Amino acid sequence: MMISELMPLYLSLRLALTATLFGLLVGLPIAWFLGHTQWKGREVLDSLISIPMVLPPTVLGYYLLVILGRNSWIGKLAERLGTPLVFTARGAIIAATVVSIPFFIKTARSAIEGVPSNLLDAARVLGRTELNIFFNVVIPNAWKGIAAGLVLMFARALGDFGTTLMVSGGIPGETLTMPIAIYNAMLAGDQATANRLAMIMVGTALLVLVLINVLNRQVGRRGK
Amino acid sequence: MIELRISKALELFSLQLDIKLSEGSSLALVGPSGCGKSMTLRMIAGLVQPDEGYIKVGDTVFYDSSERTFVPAYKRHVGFLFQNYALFPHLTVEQNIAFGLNHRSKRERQEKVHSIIERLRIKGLEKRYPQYISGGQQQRVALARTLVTDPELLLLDEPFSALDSQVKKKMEKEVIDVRNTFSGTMILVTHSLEEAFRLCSSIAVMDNGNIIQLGTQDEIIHQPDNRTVARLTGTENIFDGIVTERNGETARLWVEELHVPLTIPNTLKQDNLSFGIRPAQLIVEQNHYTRVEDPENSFSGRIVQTIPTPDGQIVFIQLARDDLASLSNNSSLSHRQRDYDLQAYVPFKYGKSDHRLFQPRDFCKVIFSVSAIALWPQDNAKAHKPVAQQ
Repeated sequence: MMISELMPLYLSLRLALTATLFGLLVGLPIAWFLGHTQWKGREVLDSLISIPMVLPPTVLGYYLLVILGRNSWIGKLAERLGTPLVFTARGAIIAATVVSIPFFIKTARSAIEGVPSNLLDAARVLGRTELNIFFNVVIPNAWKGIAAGLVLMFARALGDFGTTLMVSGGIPGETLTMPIAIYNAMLAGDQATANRLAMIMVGTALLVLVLINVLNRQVGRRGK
Repeated sequence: MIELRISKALELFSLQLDIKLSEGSSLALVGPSGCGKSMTLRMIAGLVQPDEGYIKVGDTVFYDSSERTFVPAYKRHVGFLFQNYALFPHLTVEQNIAFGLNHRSKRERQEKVHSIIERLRIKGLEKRYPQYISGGQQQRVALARTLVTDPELLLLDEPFSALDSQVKKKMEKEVIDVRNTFSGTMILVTHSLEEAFRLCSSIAVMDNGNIIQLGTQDEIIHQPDNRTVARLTGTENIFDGIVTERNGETARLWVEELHVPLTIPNTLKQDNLSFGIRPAQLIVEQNHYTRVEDPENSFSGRIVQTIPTPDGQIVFIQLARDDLASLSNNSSLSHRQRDYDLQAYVPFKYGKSDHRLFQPRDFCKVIFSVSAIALWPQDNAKAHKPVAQQ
């Protein structure tokens, strides 16, 4: 196996990990907000966040290109700052994050909502602020669900093809991730390479699934 | 001094309360489930914001809608015992108890936790998790977690509803011990009047978001203000009557439903009265046992049914009508919803010569002692001439 064949795997893992990290930072506050607010628009916000789950990846990629591209104000601003977004690793990270974050937010929200509200009330009357409660009561009681959401998000980001391809192309060494590499290999008629790459992906995916199952079972056991 | 004047619109009714409590007193809020009593506690604790009103505990104003003051729950320093204890499952017993002490120094925290663990007999459980200790132990840990913060006001929300009756008795004693050593004020919410009676010196009966009577234990039980309170406090025999005659201390009341005239205390000036008498205060005697002189309000009747209890029996009695015609006349019977007139509780007279159980169809003598009759004006909703007011 050539080094160049492992490059897409490395890029894929790096992309998925970075996207998951962003997802955690952005998604957890959103999940907390959705889980606790009485705000009437919360289900609308939840639906908006979930759109990437139902849209075809290419459609999502198209809109991301429109929003982040050179003709949009975001794109222009990024260009002026010297960090263009489309057809770069940055763009790929944004694409993978947008595609996969609904999986995390949905799972984390239900885990956070699963923490009994009287525990939160008890912490409040015992003198803890909402932020303190989030870290000392919500997270310790919901972390397994949150972790399961992260694994799901990671798996989705790892496997993304359409959106990443639309937004960042398949630049070798920068944005050529595993799914795109497999596609390229098949297109070039190199079935042996495609086969090897596919096997690596299957192995990685299996690992992720086992991890999800272990976590889920522990979450289930806690509930009893 | 605790002052409460709050209103809040709820789904089915609006909650409206106005209570003043002196420091160190204990109040029970009693009422059917869904009457707004738990909501009241949550508003005092700051977990729910009222629509309007004023809450002051000691010298601190917790809430004042006219000044737009709202002190959040975490700053109120109020002790709250939750219905299902709300212990943190991810923390040990010890960590649970110390949860409210995070602003104190480590040394102080350890000392306080240690002393409360001794006091509430939790020793040996410190490192266990709440899921793995019994219900009674969980209750004690929850109590310790609250008391360790030295609250001035202690709120108990149905604290015993999840315990079986054996443990309940023990825990009640524990709470009474706590109350006796606790210098602050205590408010208990419960649907059980017995619990309220045992634990608190004053009782507020709530219904549909309003306090319908506030009084001492004795007042609530023996001088109900209206039919709802009387019903809730276990006054099973409630009837309407019309005053026919007044002379000094007593008056005569005609009770149409029972078809008897009754001697009652002449305390209320209204003519349309309702009265109630608790089953344990009706005196029921075997018919063959006759007194030397017949006391007032003595009527003969017949046992319809009996229910045994551990220390006595509940008997259902039908009074003998003066005019037998009305008894045989089915029309008057068919309007009635039940086949008995009175319900009485007859305690066993252990060791006495006349100890004998009542059997259905036995004849008996029922005596309404004048001092045991609770009176209140008939409810306005049932006034006889509603048209006259328009």
